[in-house]
Amino acid sequence: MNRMDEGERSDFEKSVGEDPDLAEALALQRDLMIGIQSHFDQALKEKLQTSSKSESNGQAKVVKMQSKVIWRWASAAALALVVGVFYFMNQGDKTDRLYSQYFESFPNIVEFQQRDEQTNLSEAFFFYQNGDWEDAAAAFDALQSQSDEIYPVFYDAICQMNLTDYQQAEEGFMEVISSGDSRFAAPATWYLALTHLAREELTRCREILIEISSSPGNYRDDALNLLEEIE
Amino acid sequence: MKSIQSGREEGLIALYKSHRQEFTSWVAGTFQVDQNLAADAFQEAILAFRQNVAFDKYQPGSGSIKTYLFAIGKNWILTYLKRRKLGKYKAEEMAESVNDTPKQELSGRQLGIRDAVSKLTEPCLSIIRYFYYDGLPMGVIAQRLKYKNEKVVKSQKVRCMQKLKELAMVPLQK
Repeated sequence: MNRMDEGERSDFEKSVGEDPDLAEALALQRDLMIGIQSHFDQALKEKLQTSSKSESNGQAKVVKMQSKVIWRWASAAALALVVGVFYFMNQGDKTDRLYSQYFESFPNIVEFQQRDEQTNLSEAFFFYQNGDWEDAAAAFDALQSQSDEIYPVFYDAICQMNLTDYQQAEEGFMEVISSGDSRFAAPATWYLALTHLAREELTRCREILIEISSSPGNYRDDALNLLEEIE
Repeated sequence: MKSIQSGREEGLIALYKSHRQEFTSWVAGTFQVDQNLAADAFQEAILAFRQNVAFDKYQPGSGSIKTYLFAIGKNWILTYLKRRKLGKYKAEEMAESVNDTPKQELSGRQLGIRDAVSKLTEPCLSIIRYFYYDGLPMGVIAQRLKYKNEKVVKSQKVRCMQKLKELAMVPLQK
């Protein structure tokens, strides 16, 4: 509508007024857009609310910890300790922030092609898409014993990241990278870097990010941006 | 900005966490509204900002993102107060823009469509989100979902929209 000039717009509005089918088609298109936006807006609002709740809980923990330290150590030596703890905690805050900024579960790119072939597949991805990470991990684990393909290992590792078991996630991603599967090896390398970021193993995280950023690929820009922010 | 344009939400969450407290205190004090309403206004500001960035309606350089968010949130509150006939502020202070004001209730068909989106499976859920909500070009969607090219994504999108209409029990077009 914005690209029409006044005359075109007037003609179009007249056509809509005279053609009930066209008017209904437009109304349906508008309702589809509003319904879709409303669904995803609602999901985002829930994430925002959750983030503010978890932040409040985190702040409460910090305050409690600080008052304990002050009570026990009212000396100059203890003050130095508090400064050290404060520095350490801020470092943790930074990596937490970067991790939550860059980590996003990988979309399901498997189910559609193979839905008719394996019944368990839908169940695993059903749990996965609903954020039911424990059940999804168990379902992908079961799939690993039934299939030679690498994707169950990859998605299982993503579930482990959501369950904050970064060590197990790392093992999964290493296996995926070794498999050389072109669909998953590059994302697995990116997620591997994030498993180190989550554990504040910044040296290893940097090494992997440099490796990703040194060749073209979907994660190159993200790797460069994250490297810059870590520095 | 880049993260929001690529459909990622982490940047928005970080923005929300950084400014929420300051905004709610300011709005609650200035307009005498409760903290929950102020928090709702800030969430709506974040959603409007996301949409404007995704669909290239946000013009960087005209002020900080924080100022922009606060202006949207303030307009949202003013419009809300007017609608509820609680406000003492003049109507001309309100924003003319549509997407930063409180939305009207959804119609029955819109609600049906909203609920139907949650019943979609992959790849339809991602395709519809990427295209209609994140405003991503077909080429980017094809790359992200590992499709051969954007033509394949376009055909798939048509099938997904038909599926959405079926789920929402909207009569299919002749």
